[in-house]
Amino acid sequence: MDAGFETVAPTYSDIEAPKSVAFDMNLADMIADSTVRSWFTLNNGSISLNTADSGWNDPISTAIIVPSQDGRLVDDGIERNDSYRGTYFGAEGDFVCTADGYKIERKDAGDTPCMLASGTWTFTPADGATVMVPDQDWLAFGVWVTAPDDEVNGVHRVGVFHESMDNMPVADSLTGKASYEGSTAGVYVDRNRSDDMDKTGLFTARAMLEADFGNNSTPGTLTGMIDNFKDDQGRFLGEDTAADPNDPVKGGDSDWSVVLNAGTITANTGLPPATSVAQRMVCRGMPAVGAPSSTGQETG
Amino acid sequence: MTPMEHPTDVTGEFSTYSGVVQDSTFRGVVGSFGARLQED
Repeated sequence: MDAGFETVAPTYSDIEAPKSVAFDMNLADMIADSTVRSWFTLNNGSISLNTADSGWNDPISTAIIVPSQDGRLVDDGIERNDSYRGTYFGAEGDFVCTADGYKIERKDAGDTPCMLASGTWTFTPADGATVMVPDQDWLAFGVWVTAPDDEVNGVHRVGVFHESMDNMPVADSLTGKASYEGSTAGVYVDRNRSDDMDKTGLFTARAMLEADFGNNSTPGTLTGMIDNFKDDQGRFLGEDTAADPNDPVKGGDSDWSVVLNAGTITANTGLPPATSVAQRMVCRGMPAVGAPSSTGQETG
Repeated sequence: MTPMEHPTDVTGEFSTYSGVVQDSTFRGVVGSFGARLQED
């Protein structure tokens, strides 16, 4: 049995802390996601908020906080142009009702914040109002490894994960080529070595990708290579002999590299699922490739 | 067409190994990556 697992999950990310940004005409241009951008696009200094169909799970409604008035709940009888000071995504400003008969409701008895429960309102940020804007261009990836108590007979489990800010344009509009470079992280198992010393552990490496976005009649492709494999001490991986060193700078064929076979770029999503690209590959400096693995790989 | 009109980043995963899963002959790598657009 696998009782008593120990799991490690090194994660690499370049995400930066949210920044405080002035709530002005320039704010929307900083937002990558088109839907979120619309939440912060000012028109004549204000944003129109249609709360007629929203609920407590709506991102706009939950971002609106209108303190109860003098401890009392303002729930109906609101008239056109009535104004209430509150916050919108943390930015202070004024909510103004655009017609008679709208409501401000409280979610639960005892809650101070209220919701603009119906109708169309405008929000005008106050002078000096700011919004905390998350990093709009980040990558994150990593690997997890679960080791059993019984290192000999137990089952090790390995999985990978990757995520990034979703800001891809529509692929139909893309042509030409582009190259990408970045880092990788994962797990290696190196057996059947000439020195009979089995090795296993975490690695980092370099990823280089080439995208050809094709044209209206030809789908694009994504190819690439992973190389410069190093262990967690920064040492190059692979057999290392005087005649055939594993240091890629010194030449030779012992340094590990993985060549990704071409994957087709789909028209709607912009790029193919990375797994479909990565699982078809050839490699150099390592034995021939076996069957592809999948997330949640188990090894003896 | 300028490079900035392309996706600015690509993430994914890759794996390669020899031998059979769940026996002692496993050898290879499993990993994930994140790569950014290179502007020429």
